[in-house]
Amino acid sequence: MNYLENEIFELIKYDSSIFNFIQESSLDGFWYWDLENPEHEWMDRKFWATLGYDASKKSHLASEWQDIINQDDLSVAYENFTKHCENPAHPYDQQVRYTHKKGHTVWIRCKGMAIRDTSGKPIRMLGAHTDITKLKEAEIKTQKQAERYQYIIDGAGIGTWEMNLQTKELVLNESWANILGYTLSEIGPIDFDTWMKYSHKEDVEEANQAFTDHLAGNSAFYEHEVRMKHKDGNWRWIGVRGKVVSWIDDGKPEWAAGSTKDITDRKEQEIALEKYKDLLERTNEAASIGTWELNTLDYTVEWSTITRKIYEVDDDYIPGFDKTIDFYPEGVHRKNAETVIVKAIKEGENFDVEFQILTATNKPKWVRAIGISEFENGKCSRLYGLFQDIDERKKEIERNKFFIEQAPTAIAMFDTNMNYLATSQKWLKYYGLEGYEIINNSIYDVLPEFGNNSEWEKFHQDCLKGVVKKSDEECVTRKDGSVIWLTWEMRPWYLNESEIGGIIIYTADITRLKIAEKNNMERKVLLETILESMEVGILSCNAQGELTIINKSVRKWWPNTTFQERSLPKISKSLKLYKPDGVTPLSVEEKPLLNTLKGGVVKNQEVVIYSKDRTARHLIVNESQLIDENGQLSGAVLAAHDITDRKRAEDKLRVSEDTFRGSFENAAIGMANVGLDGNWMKVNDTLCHILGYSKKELLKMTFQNITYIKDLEIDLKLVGELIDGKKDFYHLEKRYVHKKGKIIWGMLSVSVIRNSNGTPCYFVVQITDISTQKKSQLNLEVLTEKLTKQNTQLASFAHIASHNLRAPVSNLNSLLHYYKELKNESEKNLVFEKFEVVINHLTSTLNTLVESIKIKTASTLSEKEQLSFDGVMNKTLEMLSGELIESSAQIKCDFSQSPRINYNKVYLESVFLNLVSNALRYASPDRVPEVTVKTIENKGKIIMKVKDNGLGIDLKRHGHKLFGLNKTFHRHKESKGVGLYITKTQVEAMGGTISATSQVNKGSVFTIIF
Amino acid sequence: MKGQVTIGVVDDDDIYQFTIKRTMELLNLAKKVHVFSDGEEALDFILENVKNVQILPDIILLDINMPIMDGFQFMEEYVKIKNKSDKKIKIYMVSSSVDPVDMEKAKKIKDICDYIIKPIWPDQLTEIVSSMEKIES
Repeated sequence: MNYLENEIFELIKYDSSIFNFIQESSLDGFWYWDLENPEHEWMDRKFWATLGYDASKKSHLASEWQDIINQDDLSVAYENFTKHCENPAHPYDQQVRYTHKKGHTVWIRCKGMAIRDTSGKPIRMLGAHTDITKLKEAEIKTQKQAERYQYIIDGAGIGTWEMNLQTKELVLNESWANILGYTLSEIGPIDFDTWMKYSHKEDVEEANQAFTDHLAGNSAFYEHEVRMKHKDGNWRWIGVRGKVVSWIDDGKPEWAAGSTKDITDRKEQEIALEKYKDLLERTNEAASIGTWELNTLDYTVEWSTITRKIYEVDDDYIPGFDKTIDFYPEGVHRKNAETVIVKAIKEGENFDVEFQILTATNKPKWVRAIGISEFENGKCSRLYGLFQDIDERKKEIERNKFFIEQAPTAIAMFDTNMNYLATSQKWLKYYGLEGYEIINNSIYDVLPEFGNNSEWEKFHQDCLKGVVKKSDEECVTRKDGSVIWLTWEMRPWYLNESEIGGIIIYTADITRLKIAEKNNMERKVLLETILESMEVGILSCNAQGELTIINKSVRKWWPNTTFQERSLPKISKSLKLYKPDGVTPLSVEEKPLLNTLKGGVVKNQEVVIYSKDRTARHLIVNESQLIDENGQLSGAVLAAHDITDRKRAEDKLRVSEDTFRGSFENAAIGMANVGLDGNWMKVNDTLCHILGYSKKELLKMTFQNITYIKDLEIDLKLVGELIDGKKDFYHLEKRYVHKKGKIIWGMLSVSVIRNSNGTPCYFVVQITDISTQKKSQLNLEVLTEKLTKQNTQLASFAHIASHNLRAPVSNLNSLLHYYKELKNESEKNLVFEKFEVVINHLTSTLNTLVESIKIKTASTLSEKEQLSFDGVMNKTLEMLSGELIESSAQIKCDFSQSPRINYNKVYLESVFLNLVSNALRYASPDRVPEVTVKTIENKGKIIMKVKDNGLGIDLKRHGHKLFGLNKTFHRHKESKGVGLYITKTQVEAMGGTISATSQVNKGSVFTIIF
Repeated sequence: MKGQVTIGVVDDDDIYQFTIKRTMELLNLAKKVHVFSDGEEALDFILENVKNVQILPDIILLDINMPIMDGFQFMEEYVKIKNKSDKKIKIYMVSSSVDPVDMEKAKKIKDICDYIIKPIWPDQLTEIVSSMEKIES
């Protein structure tokens, strides 16, 4: 047996993962490769049987299979093998071809896994084979089938397209391009725009609509016929079919695919058919008329008998294309005829026109010509049509036109298409059309405001059906934008008894009339509005003493009078009016308007009326007579001003000014008026007293002069807000400087006084001296802070008592209890030793506490002296000399920036000792300990940093306990958790702080701000 | 049916370790007593034996103040790993602290059965163990 065979079967027995791998992956053989001796590879019986060989005749060498594997596949497999060895996550899995013993190809899926030694190095490779030949053959067959379909499509000259509707990506085949005379490579890079480039613009919209319908599910297939530009410059009709074939997740269509086909031949036949139909219809319409034909290949012309009669030529006359032109008189008629014929030949546009010819006997004659163009291969091959004499009809119309042109009113004549046939000069003037070429142009082109489905257009249509329309006044906007008022009438005119030839419109301008009317109306409304909305009461009467105008204010003053009675002598009884004393009523003669009508003068007369609640209203009344254009008395008018509110305000102002003046001088608080720039305008005695200046001194100063400099900015900002109108007043606690230099705390209230326009004039200022309150408030704050600090210390003391004192005491209790239970003397001795331990522990805890209490008491603080950091450091190093030698630690000091400090000597030595000895104690065993001690000065404070490269502390977990009593963070025998507690107590007692930063296994930095 | 449960004592105090171990021996309360000097040692032991239901303690007496990992930090870690094991361990917080802050904090942790103030007396121990056995039987 081969050694690899043995080994693999042992492996299968003991390693279930290998067993599973073979179970799952190997249907047709497996192999096991010694990577340390790569020429050796064991392959099982099935492996060789799959490839048609007898395993027993094989010598299990790698070279045996390497000879019969496809060499390209071998290199792929080798590449995967190399990657798999480097990274187990890269799969060794590929499809490879072997040559069967009988010569045919066997497709194998080859999977493998490297087996590695403890260091991860691959030492063996285990592989499994699955025969996938059948699968592979089926796959190839499908692929071939698809290719075959492609050949068929290409052979049939059918273009195919596939489009991604989301990305607009477009795939086209060679035939698609061939249909348009190109090769695919000529078309260049393909996208949706390629398609659009070749499409006829007029077809795009309809095509898009058809496609949208298909997307909406309205049609099973998208099917449409469009024109596309061929390389030879002609349009080709293309039939496009297609269908959405895939959708993306949210249901939106993704790919659409389909075909294109050249259907020009079919389409051209269809179009030709249409043209014949057209001809037939027109023939029916115009019976017994001539025909004509133009062969555009040789430009020969044929005329029918009737056509010849119209032209007044003999039957043996040979018409010609060039000769025909001579029948059209030079000018508009020849031009029209030429235009339609050229259009018909070049663009295939049929025509139906009327123009004048000159017959062979030089007689002008109106004809109607209909032309049909026939196209072959994109070129006009034939032009043919009908010819009709319409001269009689036309002449009659011409007569009408002549009449209209001469008419003295605005009148116009139109044909059935609403083209101008004739207009009078007045018409042109009304519509601002003088100088414009309007005959034969549509009214809707000349005056677009009549078109666009307007009411006018509807009137025209009705009229063309025989209805007469008219209007007495109508507003029309003219071509230049001006507005005119018209009265108009429109009626049809008839070609014969039954056929309407068009309409005639008559209009007259009534604009001037309308404008005058309108202006009067507007003026009336305006005046009425003014009268109604005035605060002034207006009352007017005519010469007979009947009221004509009673405005709102008047109605308001006499709410109980309805004014239904219009006769002044009768109504004046209910209009109660009194003299300025408010008691004496006016006599009938004195009452409003009546006096004036008789020639009396009423000017600025004060009268009193009483409103419902018996409050008096003071009115100032003025009256005057109304004289008409003939100088006759036509009435009188009264205007009354209500001055009650003004009177009241005047009274109030007088009272409040008196009050203010009194309270200003005698107020118990400081009051002042201050100008916008801060100058004291007016100050009271109290303010002078508060600030220590005399009135005279203060009035020469500004508030800025005596404001404590730190409070000036906020005050000025608030003043600015008052001036800008953001505020009307503000309050501020601020400091002033007293004349004697002391600080005065003032409670300031400021409001701004504005004039009637809202412009700020000056400030009214109140200042209360709150220095006393402020002082006690500050004292209170200091006290509270102190108390809070002491409270914190007390809390931390309670915590220490709870944790550090109760623990040994409870131990003593337990021991005592246990001790009592014991009978055995030697055991009792053992327990007694424990008592000693606990008592020692308790004693040391108590000592620490006593020491920390001592530190906190203020008495020691006085014992400050000048100390040099160097000196203290040297003493510390001496004390730690043993540890320093043992650990060979490196100590670096830099006190150059701040070499000295005024501090308690004992504390500073203790702080140094604790921090340095901690740095040594918790040094990393992997590194030589390095301790750096440095002092710096920042903002007048001395800062010391002690940095080490030791074990470090996880501050996330332990940060809150770092400086607590008996808190330890390392399994270290000497750890007691006292040093940092004492250090913190000492530093804080001297008014400083201590903090730490640390990284586990990198080191810690302790920072003291003294 | 005494002496059937396994007890874990997590406390850094030598004397406490000594008295509780001796008391349990005296009363024959436990089959086995595991002693850990801090939370981390106890946690490591649980993690090592997470599938070994027989070895894991039935009851843990947990101190609060310990170096390295204290009682509350231990609970934070234990809650994360407790579902890995089928064993439901009853945890008692045993501390000399009478600080209400500590008691409140312990109360809020669902996995702590009770808060016992040191010293822990023999009859308290007996009660804890017998309540455990009642559940088991």
